[in-house]
Amino acid sequence: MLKIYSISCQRIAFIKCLFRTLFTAMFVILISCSKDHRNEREPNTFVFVTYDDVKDWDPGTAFSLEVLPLSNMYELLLWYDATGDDPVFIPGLATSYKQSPDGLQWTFQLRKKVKFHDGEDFNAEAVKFVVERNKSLGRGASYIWNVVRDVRIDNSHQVTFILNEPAPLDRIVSSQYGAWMYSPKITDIPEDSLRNGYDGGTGPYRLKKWIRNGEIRLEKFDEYWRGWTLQNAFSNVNIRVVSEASTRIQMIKNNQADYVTQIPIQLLSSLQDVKDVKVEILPGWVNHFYLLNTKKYPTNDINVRRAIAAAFDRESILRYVYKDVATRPVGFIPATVPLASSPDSLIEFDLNYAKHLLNKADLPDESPEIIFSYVATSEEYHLTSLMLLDNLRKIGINMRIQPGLWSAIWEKAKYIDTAPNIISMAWWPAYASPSDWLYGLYYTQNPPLFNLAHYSNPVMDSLIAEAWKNEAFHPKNAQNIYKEIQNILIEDCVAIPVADLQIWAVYNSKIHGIRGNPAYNTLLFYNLARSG
Amino acid sequence: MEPPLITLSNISKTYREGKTEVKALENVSLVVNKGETVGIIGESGCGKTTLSQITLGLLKQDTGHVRMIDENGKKLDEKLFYQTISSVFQDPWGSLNPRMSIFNSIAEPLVITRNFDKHEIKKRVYQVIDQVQLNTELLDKYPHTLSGGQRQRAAIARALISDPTLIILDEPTSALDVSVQAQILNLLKDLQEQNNLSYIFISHDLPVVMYLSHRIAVLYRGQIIEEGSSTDLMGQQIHPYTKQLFSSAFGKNKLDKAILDEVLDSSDQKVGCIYEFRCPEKLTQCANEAPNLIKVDSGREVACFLQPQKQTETK
Amino acid sequence: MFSSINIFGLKRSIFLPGLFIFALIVASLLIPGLSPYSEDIRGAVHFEESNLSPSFSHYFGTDAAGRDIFTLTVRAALTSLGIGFGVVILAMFIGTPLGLIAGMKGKWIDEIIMRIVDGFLAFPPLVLPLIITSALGPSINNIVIGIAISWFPWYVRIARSQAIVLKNQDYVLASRSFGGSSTHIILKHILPNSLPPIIVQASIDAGYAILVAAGLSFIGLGAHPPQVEWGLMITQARAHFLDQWWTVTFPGLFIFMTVISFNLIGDGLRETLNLNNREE
Ligand SMILES: Nc1ncnc2c1ncn2[C@@H]1O[C@H](COP(=O)(O)OP(=O)(O)O)[C@@H](O)[C@H]1O
Ligand SMILES: [Mg+2]
Repeated sequence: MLKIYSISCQRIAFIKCLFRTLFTAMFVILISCSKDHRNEREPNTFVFVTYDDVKDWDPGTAFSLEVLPLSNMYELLLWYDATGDDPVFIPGLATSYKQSPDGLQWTFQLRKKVKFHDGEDFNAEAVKFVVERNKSLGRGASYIWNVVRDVRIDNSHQVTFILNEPAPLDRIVSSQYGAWMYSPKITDIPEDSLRNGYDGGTGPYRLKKWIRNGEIRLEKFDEYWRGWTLQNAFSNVNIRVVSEASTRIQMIKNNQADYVTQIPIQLLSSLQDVKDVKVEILPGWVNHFYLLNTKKYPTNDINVRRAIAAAFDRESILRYVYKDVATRPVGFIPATVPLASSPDSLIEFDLNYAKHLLNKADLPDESPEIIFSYVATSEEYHLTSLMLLDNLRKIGINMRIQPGLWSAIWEKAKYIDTAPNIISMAWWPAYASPSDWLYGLYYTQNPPLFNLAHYSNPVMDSLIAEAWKNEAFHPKNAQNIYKEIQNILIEDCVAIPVADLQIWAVYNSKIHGIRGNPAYNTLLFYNLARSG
Repeated sequence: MEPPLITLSNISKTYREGKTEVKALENVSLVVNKGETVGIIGESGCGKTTLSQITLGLLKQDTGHVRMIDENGKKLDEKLFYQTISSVFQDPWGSLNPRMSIFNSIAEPLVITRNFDKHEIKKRVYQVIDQVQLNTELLDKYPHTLSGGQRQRAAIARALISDPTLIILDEPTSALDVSVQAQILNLLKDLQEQNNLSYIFISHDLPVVMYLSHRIAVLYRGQIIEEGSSTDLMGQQIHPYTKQLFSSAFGKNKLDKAILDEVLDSSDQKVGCIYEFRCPEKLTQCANEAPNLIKVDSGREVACFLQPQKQTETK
Repeated sequence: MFSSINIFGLKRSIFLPGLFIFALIVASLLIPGLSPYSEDIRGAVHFEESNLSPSFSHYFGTDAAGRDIFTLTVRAALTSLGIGFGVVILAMFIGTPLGLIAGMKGKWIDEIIMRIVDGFLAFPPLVLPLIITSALGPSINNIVIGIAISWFPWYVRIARSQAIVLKNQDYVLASRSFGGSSTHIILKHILPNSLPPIIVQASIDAGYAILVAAGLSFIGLGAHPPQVEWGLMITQARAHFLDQWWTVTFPGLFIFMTVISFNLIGDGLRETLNLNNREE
């Protein structure tokens, strides 16, 4: 027989094997520690590291992670400052405003001598254009303008919003989505360019470069109307997308990043002792919950949904996974949001009860399979999935875990065929009202945008509309209706609330000016500076 | 006289590999009679193995045919052909499957024909290993634990098992030690007598061929250049090449090795005698004309211009 | 056909890694009965014990969900070895017959088979398993199929080159001269004699298959909870490994040792099997 291998071949093969194995073993470590040596740290560049990229550059429709760059590129007529005990409105592109006694007409004085990044003047026409364009696009958070019947141009720098019904328009124009003022020149921009990165704002920073799934580079807008007086303010901002949490940790530890997001909460304690790294808990209006698909087998059965909710060990998750970053939820809306109320009770963890509910469901399957989708970049979701997997196994439900990127699982969740039974969800509002959660998540949507429970209930729809109408002048009524709504959500078991989150800011301790405003889930780079 | 057992007529074979062509056999004819041993002698590379493989049906000849007939003069069908003709190869290391026990190797021809049950096979295997004087203990062993002689005995046993009438022996002893060679040759001789076998005995070793063969064909570069009974040939060699073979084998001058290694390929298409350039007795016509194989005596054929003419004259 | 291999004649280079693999199989089968944390194998979580460092109660520490890493790592061997064996057996079963037929028959059959094989080999090594598993959907079975499909061409090649050499061996010619059919010759002569290099290749590949499967699980294409698999364990722990080194180190170490063991076994087998050849 032929001797295929010679001795030297064997050695080489062995060494190769050794190296390949070592290489693969190192692979994990390497990707986690991968350093970008091209990136020399410049003192006037702020490096923000996040876990996922912008999907939509159109300020009229963007409704997700875009808030971070867009809130630095665009401005609002008013800012809603919720840092103090009594929220106040701060002038933005509007210098002042007043409302008619019936609350149907709101007149705004606009700031003069403000220019968009493309050179156009900001004026009354631009405001009218934005509202009308957003309404006609009808995507993203455009629903905030539903109450506006017309925008009347009083003069070049004064507009009056005419409403269909009384509504708190100051809260609407300060919304964190859908209310950014942008240049009417956007209509000249071809679709393609919009998709490849667009900037038509008045904000302190302008988009310099976008490397998809890599980096967003912002540079300061020299003609910004507030001027650049802050010492050591940043003239450049790099927003980098790094999906590995361990890499983000490395980056903040090695001073390659000034601010990192989505650090696994379990690991925060180990960062607290690291030199130059500051971990700060800031107020937030973000909550984590799981939507249960009401249309897909077997969670279309209400008893199955309730069984899942009863098998959900919220206390353990809060205690060991979210630790002191989150508080126990009182309902489907974070407790500190203005006008928030709570349902009478939440479904509590009780495996026996869960088993009982499952028996009641009387499914054709001996042990039904459900699919659980979550955003893979979050360690909290991952650990929650393991908890639920274990508990559902105990009551006889097979759970299949499908982690994925948010953009991917979101797309799948929109269609019944590909939708999971349970999907992780984090929500922060366009404008600070319970109706934002309720309208965004539980109002009938066809096709669904964020109503990934595929929930549709006419009673719910009309209650949400009614509560909203009451907000401006009958806040107590509104609050009561919100309670009623949440009782229905508990009854129908559409979602499992898990945690009211605060913002855990992890940043370089030389950075100053970081302030938590729960109304905006972003970081305003204009206020920041690096000391020494 | 009985018809010959096997007749090869005008066999030619050229190996082609890409552009190179090797003419291995040219117009070779041979008959073997029952109970007879025909020796084929020739230098290495002269086409002996090619001839044996064509005879066995392992290789397709380009032209000519091989015919085997039964007692009634009928052509044998394929199955009978395989049972009637059998072979022992030169290399006892290569001719036994290293992953098969000796028993299975010996029994293989019977297993292939499928006509025998286990019991019969076993009986037959024991018979033949007794004939080749092989120890039964070796039957469960694998080839690599056997000596060269034992292996060749096993190969002979395998050749005998289907009770053939003709065995082709392609250098059956050349890979063995001299002492073992003699044993095997004697064994072959005994077997022939016991079983009334015919042999085609192929070798490059003249004394060995002389010892066993009744008739000898001398092969040179794919052609038979002289043929005759061994006693005749021993007494007188006609072709200069045969002369040289005999003189080198039985003591005198050695053959020029360098010439042996030359390969005959189509590029040196010779018009004349193939032995011309080595021939010590060549005539002028030898360069331009190839001599045919001519019958010079009863049972004696030679392809040379020299003596045959005298012989025919005397006739 | 292996009766010619003497167990006591096995090289030490086979013995030790062989013992390791054997011990791993035994341990992974016994661990559910022996470990006090056997519940963890089925996916039990104990958050109150999360991220504990190695100690006498948790030899390899615990992960973020409080599961005992020792128990999981040992049990994961079953999955990983299953993948390794599954891949090579499947690849061998597809590749060997094709290769033997190609080598034996030659001509256009050979041409067609080798064209197909070259087509498969045109893909960069990891790309085909990646495409196949992502097309079939993430699961352990699909990983096995994906890797096997992309690796069988190597077995075709080895088997073919063996067949080409072996079909001219005297014992094959002898068999043909006795009237042996192609099937008889392939089954009795070519296959048994071409197995040694195939088995050597298989034992080396078994290790690599585990490595590739771990890689695919790492990127979410393979095992999923509550299955326990080394690659998956590393994925799940990858956010933690800087602070809790034990979470990835032990599964990583086991992958490493297993791959090396299979490689050593392959090398050892190569030497042992070559003893039967004439080129001693
Ligand atoms: N399969 C083959 N392909 C090409 N040439 C071959 C092949 N087999 C044999 N030959 C050539 O044919 C000639 C005769 O070979 P062979 O019959 O083996 O001679 P011998 O058995 O007398 O040594 C030699 O020159 C040899 O190189
Ligand atoms: Mg020969």
